[in-house]
Amino acid sequence: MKKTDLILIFVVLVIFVSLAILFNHKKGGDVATVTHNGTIVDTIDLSKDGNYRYEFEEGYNIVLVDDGKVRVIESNCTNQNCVNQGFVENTNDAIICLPHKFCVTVKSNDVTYDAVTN
Amino acid sequence: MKKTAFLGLFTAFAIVLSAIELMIPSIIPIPGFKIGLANLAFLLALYLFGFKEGLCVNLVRIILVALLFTSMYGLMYSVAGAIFSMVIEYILYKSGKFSAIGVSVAGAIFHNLGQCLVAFIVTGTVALVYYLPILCLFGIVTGVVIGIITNTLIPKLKLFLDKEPTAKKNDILDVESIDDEDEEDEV
Ligand SMILES: [Zn+2]
Repeated sequence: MKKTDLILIFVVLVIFVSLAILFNHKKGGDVATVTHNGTIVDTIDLSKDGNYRYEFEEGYNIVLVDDGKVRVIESNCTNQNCVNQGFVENTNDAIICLPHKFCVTVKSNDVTYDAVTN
Repeated sequence: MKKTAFLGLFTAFAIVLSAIELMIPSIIPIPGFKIGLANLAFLLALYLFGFKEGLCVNLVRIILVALLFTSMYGLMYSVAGAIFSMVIEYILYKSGKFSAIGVSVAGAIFHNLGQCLVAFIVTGTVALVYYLPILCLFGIVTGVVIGIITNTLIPKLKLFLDKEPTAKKNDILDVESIDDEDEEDEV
């Protein structure tokens, strides 16, 4: 191990630890935005339990909201990663179904308010 | 001859590492991301033979792994991660300023950057960026481990590579020297 290795490791550790701290807001979300191909197709209120079905040319995804948490319960995608991921509940948590270009992201209401008022 | 055998061995090794990696449950809620164990095989090929050889080992691995275990969409991820990590690793290796540990750590980080970039292009969401720090922190750990392994293996493998040909060349000179010619020139 060279000294430069240690410097490099130290620098990247500092960068990514601070980024991790910066991004780490473990607070529950209020809504989930559903996007397909980058465009928002729906915003789900997480305070109400329910089932939502989304159908695209690539296939379908069924989203379940239960007790403020959200998950994909069913999909006909090839890898089932979205289904296996299970529940997410914290702000900025996301479920991504790459084969369907489908994404569910948990958001908190303050952010949407800010975006509206600004 | 010896080089071809070694590269075949590395490729097989890389595929095994990829298979192991697929069995490890994802540390973050985005399955499909790899921690980059197979990078070890690339680094060994790079340090022993050169970039071209490392590239071959890695590309053959990616294609075979995609055919054997994963889907084509998984291929996109691996290709992006591999290209990003191989380029940075080659640059740092060439600079001569880092040992395999630094090279491997940088490779692990760029591997994640490449994967995130593809996921961003495919899904159009920036949500994945939030997982980048934790992915990279795990990447640093695996990077250091792979770097240490590379550092210890390379001198031993080099010794073996340098020693063997003289002892063996007399025995099987005629058969082996033919396919030797086209492979050996650009090291
Ligand atoms: Zn899916």
